[in-house]
Amino acid sequence: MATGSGAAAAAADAEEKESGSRMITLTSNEGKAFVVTEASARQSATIRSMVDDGGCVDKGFPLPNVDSKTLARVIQYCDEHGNKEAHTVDERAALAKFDKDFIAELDADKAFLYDVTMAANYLHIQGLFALTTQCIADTIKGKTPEEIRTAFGIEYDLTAQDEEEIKEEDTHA
Amino acid sequence: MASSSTLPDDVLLEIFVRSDAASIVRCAATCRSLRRRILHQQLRRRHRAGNGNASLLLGVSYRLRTDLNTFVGVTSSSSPLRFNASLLESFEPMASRDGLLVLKQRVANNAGDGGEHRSNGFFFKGRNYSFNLCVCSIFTGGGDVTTFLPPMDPAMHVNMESHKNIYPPALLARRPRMPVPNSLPAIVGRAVHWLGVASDYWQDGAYGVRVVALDADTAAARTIDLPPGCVDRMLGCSNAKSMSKLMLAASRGGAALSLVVAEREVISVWTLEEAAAAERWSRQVVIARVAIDRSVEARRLYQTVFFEGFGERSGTVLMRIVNVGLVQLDVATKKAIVVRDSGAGKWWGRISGEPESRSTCEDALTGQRPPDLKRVITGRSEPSPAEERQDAATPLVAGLSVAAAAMGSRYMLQAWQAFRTRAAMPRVRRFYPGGFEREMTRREAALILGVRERAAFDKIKEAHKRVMVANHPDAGGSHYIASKINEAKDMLMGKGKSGSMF
Repeated sequence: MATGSGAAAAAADAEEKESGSRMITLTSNEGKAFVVTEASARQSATIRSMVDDGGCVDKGFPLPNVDSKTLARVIQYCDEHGNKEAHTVDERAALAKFDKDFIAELDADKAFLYDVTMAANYLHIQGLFALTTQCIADTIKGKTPEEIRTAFGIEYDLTAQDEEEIKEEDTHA
Repeated sequence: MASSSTLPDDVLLEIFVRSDAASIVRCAATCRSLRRRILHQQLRRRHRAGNGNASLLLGVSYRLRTDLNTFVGVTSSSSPLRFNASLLESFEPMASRDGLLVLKQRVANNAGDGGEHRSNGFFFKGRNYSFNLCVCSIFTGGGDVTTFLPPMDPAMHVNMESHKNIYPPALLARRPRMPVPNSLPAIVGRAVHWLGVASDYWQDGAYGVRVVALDADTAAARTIDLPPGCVDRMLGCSNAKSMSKLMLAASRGGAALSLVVAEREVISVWTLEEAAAAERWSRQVVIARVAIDRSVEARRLYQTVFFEGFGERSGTVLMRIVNVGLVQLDVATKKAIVVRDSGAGKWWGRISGEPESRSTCEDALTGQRPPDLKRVITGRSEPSPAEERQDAATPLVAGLSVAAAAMGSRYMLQAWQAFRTRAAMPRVRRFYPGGFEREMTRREAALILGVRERAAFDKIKEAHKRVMVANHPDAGGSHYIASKINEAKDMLMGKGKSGSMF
């Protein structure tokens, strides 16, 4: 729902009256405010624990590790999963379809996918994290160690002894 | 976080855990810190716990050091497993899944002192000429290091008096012989299943055949009755020998136990449904035997079936049918392919002989079989032909399940080869219906041998030889038919008296 600060806040106000649920403000590292329903925010274990502790609900949550673009995408996921029921087969199928489209979109931009993964990790959004990591895991399937290193920007620091051990394990590694 | 393509190690590990075993092995070769963490037991335990994708398991690989003449774990330096590699010198792997490994003693003569050998979480009894099986749990961790085996004497009687803690009283009362020597164990969940025959089988409607399930964690065994009426449908399953018409297999990715039965007229698959109250077998007819063995149509003489293995991933049953050959049956599509004609030389010697069959397994496991490399690989998955090709590129790749699966896929490859190269002519023959006449006539004799009534003598001899080979009692044919064939030959060649002993 919320994509821009001003318009989002206005929309959120309207929705708050309707739904009666609390609204929670999340602030990206660029200072942009995102207003989401509590149900959405509760998708994140980090925010859930803060809300339950009764902390700074009014002041909003600053998220210094997440930029606006990523946060918008994460909130899109949370809205879908936080506000929709998944009791019937149809509803579950709809959510699964959403997940599929969501990840297909992300898959196109690797750097952004990593950002979303990091954000999901930081915010402890179990479903999203599983979704993105699984997607990345699929992409490294069948790749050589060299390709994996490039894909994740891993520095090569194996000693001669390690290499010996790896060779011992598998000559094709 | 600004756009950056580097992920911290713990996130990377989360990714690796969700990847397949082959990728994990390669990931372990990327950098030191990741390598250390991947090889750490914690990751392996997470795999076992089925976090993320349950079908993934890191494999363990052992290698025979020719210089030391012992097996050494390839990754043993960094990840100690509760498995003694020296076991591989005298035991061979039969089945494995989820870190449970079933080993069978290779050499029957285990210069035994009758004492119990305990080592590294397993124990086995040394007995002379015993048939020893051993279940190993190779993962470390609280309480799951249990291992056991029922020591057995040559006659396959389990010495259960000394294992009262393992076998339930009901089982002790029945004194089952178990497991049947040629039955492959099936691992479902944390339990290993065998087929067993009670020694008082004649008192029992189902001929005393039972499934014996041993829970590896609690070391407690229980029996599961075969589906009611299942054995009655089989052709004379009255002793352990004909148990080759039954085969246990793990299905649904190791979640369910299946029983493949060669019934009189169909090959059926039963699956054990774990209902809340009681277990229930559900039956699924896979294929009518007429569809496989067309030659039975006229005479309704069904040939003996020997199950050779079950390829779980490919869903194929591999079986030998006397006078038909090696048949590969796809359970899902119900398609049967004769992989190898029984006429094609003495191929059965290769797979029926126990030692040979196991070495072909190892062959299939390693893909190309380097001389000094033997592997015990544990995992949930098993090779399909396509995967086997992949695995040839990365032999360490874990996730090959041992015996049955490997055999299945190996023969499937061969099957495909044979199927591709053989002539496109269908195996449809026409047969003369009806039984034998009371007194053989020249016409009937000619029909039996498949020659004209006035054929040349060498034609008759040749035909006699061909039909005799196909029906020879030594290879499972019928004596009655063999005598009829001889009689037909004598009749056509006009010598000897034509009276039949029947």
